[in-house]
Amino acid sequence: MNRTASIMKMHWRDRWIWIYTPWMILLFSFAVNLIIGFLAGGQENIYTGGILSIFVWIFVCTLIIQGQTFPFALGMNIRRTDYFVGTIVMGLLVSAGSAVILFLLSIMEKMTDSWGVNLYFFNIPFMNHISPLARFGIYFVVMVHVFFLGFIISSIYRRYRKTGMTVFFLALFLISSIVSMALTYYSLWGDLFSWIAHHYMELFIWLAPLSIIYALLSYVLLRRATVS
Amino acid sequence: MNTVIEVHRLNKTYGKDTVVNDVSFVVEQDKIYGLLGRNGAGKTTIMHMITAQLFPTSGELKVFGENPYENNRVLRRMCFIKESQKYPESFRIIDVMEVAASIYPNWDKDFAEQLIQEFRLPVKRRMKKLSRGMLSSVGVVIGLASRAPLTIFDEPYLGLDAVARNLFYERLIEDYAEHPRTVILSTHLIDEVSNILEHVFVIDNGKILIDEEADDLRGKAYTAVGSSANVSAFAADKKIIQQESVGGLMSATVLGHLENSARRQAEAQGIELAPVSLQQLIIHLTNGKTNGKVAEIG
Repeated sequence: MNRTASIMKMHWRDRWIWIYTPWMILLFSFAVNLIIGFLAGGQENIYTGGILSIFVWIFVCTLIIQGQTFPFALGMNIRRTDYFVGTIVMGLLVSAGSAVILFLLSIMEKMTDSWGVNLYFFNIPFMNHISPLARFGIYFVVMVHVFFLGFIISSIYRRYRKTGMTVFFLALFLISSIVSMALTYYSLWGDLFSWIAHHYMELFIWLAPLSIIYALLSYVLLRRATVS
Repeated sequence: MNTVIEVHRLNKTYGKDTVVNDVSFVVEQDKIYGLLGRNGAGKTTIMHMITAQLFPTSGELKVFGENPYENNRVLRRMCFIKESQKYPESFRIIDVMEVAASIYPNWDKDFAEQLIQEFRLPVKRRMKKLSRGMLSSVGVVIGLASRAPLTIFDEPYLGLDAVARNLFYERLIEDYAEHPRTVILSTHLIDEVSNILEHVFVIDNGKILIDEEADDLRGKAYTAVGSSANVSAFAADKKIIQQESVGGLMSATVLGHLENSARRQAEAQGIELAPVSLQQLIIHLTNGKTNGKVAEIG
């Protein structure tokens, strides 16, 4: 049997972590907001940001899942390559599935006139100006990006253990400190925010190649990772 | 004989620590091997390198004639059961078995179910809730039911009781007879496995001390017991690896083949001769004091 498929089957056993739990959290948050909307009688617009929970979950879930399944799979004499391919296909499928459902829910939100109570749960304010297809693309690309971000951080740990994590976070801390100091010194914060406000669509597009870079780096790291 | 594993001058170092030191050996097809040695001798590290889970620092390593690293032609044909195997938190025994069934090409589902019953494993229980002995049993079931042409057990019975260990040996031998394969057993319970091993590697401090057929090894040493004067005289020109005196009695463990002349001499002097168990022999050979003599055994 194809061992990539075996890896996907292995992940499918964790579908509670991959799929059910984040959706339960998201839908619970939605239900609470809907009730609040009804109680408020739709007097005010409700912007919740509750949709973010599913993206945060995928990030954390990837961090945890790789730590548990990579040593297990290698111990079962699986190739690192098969683990990598099986896991990212699973990640892409879950991201695509979630993006489709989010998209359908966002369409329902539009059709029901924000659930009749002015609740903007699945449509984040800036999305009013973009095409439905772009909305789907944003859900998908952000989710995929978050997945690969979790995956590469986990891969750095698999390859270089604590040293890798220390170096990574020190570097991250130094770079962000230097950048923010520079922005403050040259008083560029305002420019930065206005640039983002005008170019956020481009930022979303750039998440795609960034995700591919994460994936390639993760592959290189995992190929040299060991378990004991 | 077909060669399954070929290791040539293999080394593994961590910084200044040498864990595996210039190890060379060959494993042939369809035999049961014992990889024996004390804790920390380097057994587990060698097996991790054979299965490409760790990388050698230097040296050559071929399994089924190829480099095992990221090589499915090799990896598909082996099953490595290790004491330190990790399982995903959410997995129950049944999940592990079903994943194993989809991974190992020769998996025998009926055999696995039979073993699960015999080892009394609660299939619905989560792996993290299992006792040490149950965890070991799960490994044993996977190792046997996967019927991989190269099956490696690293300390497979930590925490297993005597009944379960016996069951493991019985099922291993029965299944080995029906489905011959190459088995490597690493353990320090040497006496228990000594009669199922066909070939023995003894490793100490990262080096191979002994690489012998088990039968040859058993004839390598014997113990002479009798009155102190007689035994001293008897053993005077022989290589003694251990001796003990109690009252007027003395027991000496002699390294070397038992010659007929020596046997007659012993009979005449009322000295009793007994074979040395593999375990005793290996203890003598690895306890440091006799390390200098080890080189002369082959």
